[in-house]
Amino acid sequence: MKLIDTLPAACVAVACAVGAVVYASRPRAKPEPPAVTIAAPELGRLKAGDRIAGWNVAAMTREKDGAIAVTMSRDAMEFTLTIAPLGLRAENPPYATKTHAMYYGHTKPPDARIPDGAMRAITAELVRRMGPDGEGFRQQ
Amino acid sequence: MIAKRLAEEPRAAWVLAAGFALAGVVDVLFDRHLHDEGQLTYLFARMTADAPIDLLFLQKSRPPISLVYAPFAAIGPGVFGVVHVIVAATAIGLLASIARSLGHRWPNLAALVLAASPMYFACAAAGVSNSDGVAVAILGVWLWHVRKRPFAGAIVLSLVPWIRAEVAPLSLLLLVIASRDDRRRAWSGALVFPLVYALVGAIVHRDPLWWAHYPPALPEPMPGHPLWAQQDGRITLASLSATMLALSPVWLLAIPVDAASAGRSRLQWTWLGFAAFELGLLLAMPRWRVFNFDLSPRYLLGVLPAFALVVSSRVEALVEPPRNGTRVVELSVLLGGAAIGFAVAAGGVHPAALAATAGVAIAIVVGRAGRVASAAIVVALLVAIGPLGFGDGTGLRRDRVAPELAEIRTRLEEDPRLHGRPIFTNAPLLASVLPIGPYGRVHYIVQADQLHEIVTLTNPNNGQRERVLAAMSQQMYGIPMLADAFVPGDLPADAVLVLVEDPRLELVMPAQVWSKALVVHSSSERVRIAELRPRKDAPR
Repeated sequence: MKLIDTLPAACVAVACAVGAVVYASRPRAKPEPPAVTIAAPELGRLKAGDRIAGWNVAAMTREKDGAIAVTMSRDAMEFTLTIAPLGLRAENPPYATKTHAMYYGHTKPPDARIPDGAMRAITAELVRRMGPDGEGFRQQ
Repeated sequence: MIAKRLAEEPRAAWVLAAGFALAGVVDVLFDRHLHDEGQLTYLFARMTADAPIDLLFLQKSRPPISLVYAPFAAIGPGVFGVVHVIVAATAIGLLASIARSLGHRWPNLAALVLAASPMYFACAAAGVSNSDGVAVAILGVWLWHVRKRPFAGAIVLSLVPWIRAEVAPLSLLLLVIASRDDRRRAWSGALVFPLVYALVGAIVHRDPLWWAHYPPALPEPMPGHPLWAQQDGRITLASLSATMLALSPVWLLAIPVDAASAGRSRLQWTWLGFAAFELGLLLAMPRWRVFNFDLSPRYLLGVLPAFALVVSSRVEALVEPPRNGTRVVELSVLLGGAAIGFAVAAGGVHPAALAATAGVAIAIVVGRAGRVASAAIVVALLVAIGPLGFGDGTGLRRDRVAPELAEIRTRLEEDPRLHGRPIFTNAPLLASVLPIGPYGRVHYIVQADQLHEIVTLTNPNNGQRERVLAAMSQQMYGIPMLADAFVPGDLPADAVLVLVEDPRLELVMPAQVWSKALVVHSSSERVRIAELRPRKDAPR
């Protein structure tokens, strides 16, 4: 056995093995974007950190078309409520007031189940915060 | 001693094949690799059972395998899936036999590379035709070179272009290099099926050039196809690395470092030459946008038998003292593998490529130290853990390819108002995964490009197109809804629409027609659940 026949491959083996261990031990989870507090007069004084019907308002962002996306979280689950002025989006929403439409989705994990009654309780609270113009979300 | 017997004993290869088949059947039962293209293989086989003449002379249907699977598909998708796995398993034993006939010291190592390939296993379990193309090519070579039946082998190899077009050059190359003794019988055999098929097809289609007028695949994508417009056809280093690892974690050993390491037979060299050509061609084709080839990893499966044979030869050649040129090439290959591994890992991808390169380098060190049998064991261990650690690049795992299915089920489960109502969806696998009990029947919204393909590749003049569409109408990912019959007014008032994000959807559900007609229940990045807006004349 000649050293020249084994040493280069051995060096590659060690380098790759060390590299594999180092990279495998690095956390790869992408950091969550920080919660953004936006001015949303439509939703009263709602802000990131509030609690609605037992759910945390994890983030609030203004989308490109002007709709407000409210990320609700509880335990390891998240979903997003999108509140848009009625008529802003072509799709008919599952909930609406006289002035606003509300969509929901973007569940994390995607197959997480939104508990029974959560939507009803959250929409009721939002209506209360939206004031008299809302006149109550109604289910379409 | 046990390892030596496992590597050499012919029966061990068949035990390996049986283990592959067993694991594959379990995988099929759990739908772990349920895939729309696999469902398409099943669909064509089932339609062949229903309308054999029209489907056999529809080149798109991959007639040779549709004919083989037709009786099983007629029983049901589960039986089809099991038989599909058994066909792939059979090729494992045949490849060991080929390696043995080529004088390999450890022929079962080649069989193990094939059997433990995450890609081969996934293709077999998914029901996609890629594993069939490989299995039929192996069967042809086995008949020709092991059983010494060049006529029969060439007949089988001549079927390959109608199963997987990308494997067709292998059949041609093998004919070109046929020995003088075999040449006449092989070429005669190779012409039997194409000539008979073309002639009978001319009568059926009433068109002598039917095979060119109705080819097996679209020569170019549908004009304005939104998916192709988005695709730039370039593969990333991370994807390429994952694909190669999914083919085999020891793919670096399939790169010959000198003449001996690629084997001594002309057959093996030809197979390797085909693999190199195939790799280059399939990585370039998506850029040219010909024959609908995209960058699906499974298209590269055709190179695997060559990889398996060369890995086996390469390991046994480690016993020979390397020359300077061999040392340089060997080190270059390892450094190349390491560079790819570090680059991919630095990009945030799991460092599987680094682990595989380390394993290959260890095998080389052990082999070059004079312990070639131990090197073979290291390679076998690395290969054997392939399905567990290197399967990310197959692109066939249901939970990765169609993650929306779990989300759809949850959205439907959590709202009892949606239960028992007819479902209309563009998710091709929904009908297969949704339990029948609480939900209504699933209707599949046939996408514009799918309809375009069927229409373009079928003959309207002899009634084939009409009959194929009629055969399709019974089942295609559920009950198919063709675009021209899919308007809001024609749907039942209680229809539930389950729409998965897909740029093609706009072609069959234009927003100006559908947006006002739908009430969206929930929407996420990938899935919208909607129902029809109550009609004024039929309030609910």
